[in-house]
Amino acid sequence: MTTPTTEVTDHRLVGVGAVGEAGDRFDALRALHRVVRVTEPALSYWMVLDHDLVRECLQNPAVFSSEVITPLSPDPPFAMIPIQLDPPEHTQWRRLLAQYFSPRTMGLLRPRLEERTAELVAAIRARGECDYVEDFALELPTVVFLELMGLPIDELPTFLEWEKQALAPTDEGVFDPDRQIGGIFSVVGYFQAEIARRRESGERGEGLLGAMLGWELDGAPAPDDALVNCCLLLFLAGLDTVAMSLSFAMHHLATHEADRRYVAGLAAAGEPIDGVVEELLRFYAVPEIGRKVTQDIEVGGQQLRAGDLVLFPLVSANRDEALVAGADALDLTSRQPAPHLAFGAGPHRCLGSHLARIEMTVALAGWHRVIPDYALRDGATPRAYWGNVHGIFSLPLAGFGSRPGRKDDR
Amino acid sequence: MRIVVDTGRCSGHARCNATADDLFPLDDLGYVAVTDPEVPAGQEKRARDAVAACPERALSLVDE
Repeated sequence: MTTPTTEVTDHRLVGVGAVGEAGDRFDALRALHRVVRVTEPALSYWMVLDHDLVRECLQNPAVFSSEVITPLSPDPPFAMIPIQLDPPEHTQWRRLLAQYFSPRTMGLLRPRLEERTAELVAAIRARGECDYVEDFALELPTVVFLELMGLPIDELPTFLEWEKQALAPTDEGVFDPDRQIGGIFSVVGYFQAEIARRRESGERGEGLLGAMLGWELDGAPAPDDALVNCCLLLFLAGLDTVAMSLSFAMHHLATHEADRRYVAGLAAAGEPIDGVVEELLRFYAVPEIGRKVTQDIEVGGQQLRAGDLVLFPLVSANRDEALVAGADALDLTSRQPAPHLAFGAGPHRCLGSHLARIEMTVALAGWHRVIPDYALRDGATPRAYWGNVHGIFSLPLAGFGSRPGRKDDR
Repeated sequence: MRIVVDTGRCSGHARCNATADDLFPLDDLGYVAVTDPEVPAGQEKRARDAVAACPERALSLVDE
């Protein structure tokens, strides 16, 4: 049975504000509604706030199609592979990619991640302050991306620049389409040239890109334009999501003394921090993902029509009391990790989730072993932005205090 | 106690494996591939925790 529709006109998918607001801005709505209809000046979409409904919709790709993955782009000019494909086409790509992103394969990257983390943290420690976003969070996943793909590490500054253009808002919090498209074209051009170079050389070359050049779809070689498309997706999906999840985590710890001490204590003792990472992922889940409805369906008492767009803010699902008691607060110490949806659900579950978890675990443990004491730099008031991925503009950290020991300072 | 996997729902989060890797082995793609659904005596709590960790609700336990 349908219930009267709650029309919301004061919610905005894109915006800027205090860091806490990025996730808190769903709390009041979720307390009253499971599904609302949002009308913005230039956008209109359903928004699902309830944990069970978010999961069930994402598990149903036949009705909730990935043809549209954000209300910001209701009529996408082309489909990104594989994130905008639906089964069964999606399934073949996913099978090809999955083994390269499995927990076992990703585990092999851990030593290299630890090494790079130690280098970055030692440099920051020596300098005595940093902008965590710029100096650490953006850099680590980009290094991993280059190595995973089999690309030279000296491309790092170039890729970091393209990443900023393609994914981050301007300092005023505006997503400038021309700047974003410029960044995306640069990435596409790079992969086109690199794939052509490898084809001409007769050697597929290293890394995932080398493997991709040997892939077949329905018994025929995967077309190069589809491979370029897939490379672009890996670039867009894996870089700012991890960087910003780390940045929200570190903002929380820099502003919550007891939690920071708890994590530093675990790191100093060499105890696992996997549970800490899960809870931070749950509470600060950065993606808001969209779908397009393919046939009329009732969701949470609301009648959705074929062609409607739907937004799933994963942080809202993750803070729903139905998921776990006390879900509206971050709790690092006293419960089992909740089965949150920070990586989505259904067939499009974040392909990079296992890599993201290792990156976050290594990054947070490696930081706290060497820099257990830190705080926001005096006078700093970090600002967040939100859209399809939440982010923080900059996170100035200082107050590193005295050294706990020198053994990790290599 | 026996593990039941809804393979249509498993999407490879691998949280069961992170909780109890011996009871919930993975295939090469990282999806759960339970080889022995019988939960050994004494391992019931680990099995329950692993089942509860699944974000997709793809796992369940049946008592025999």
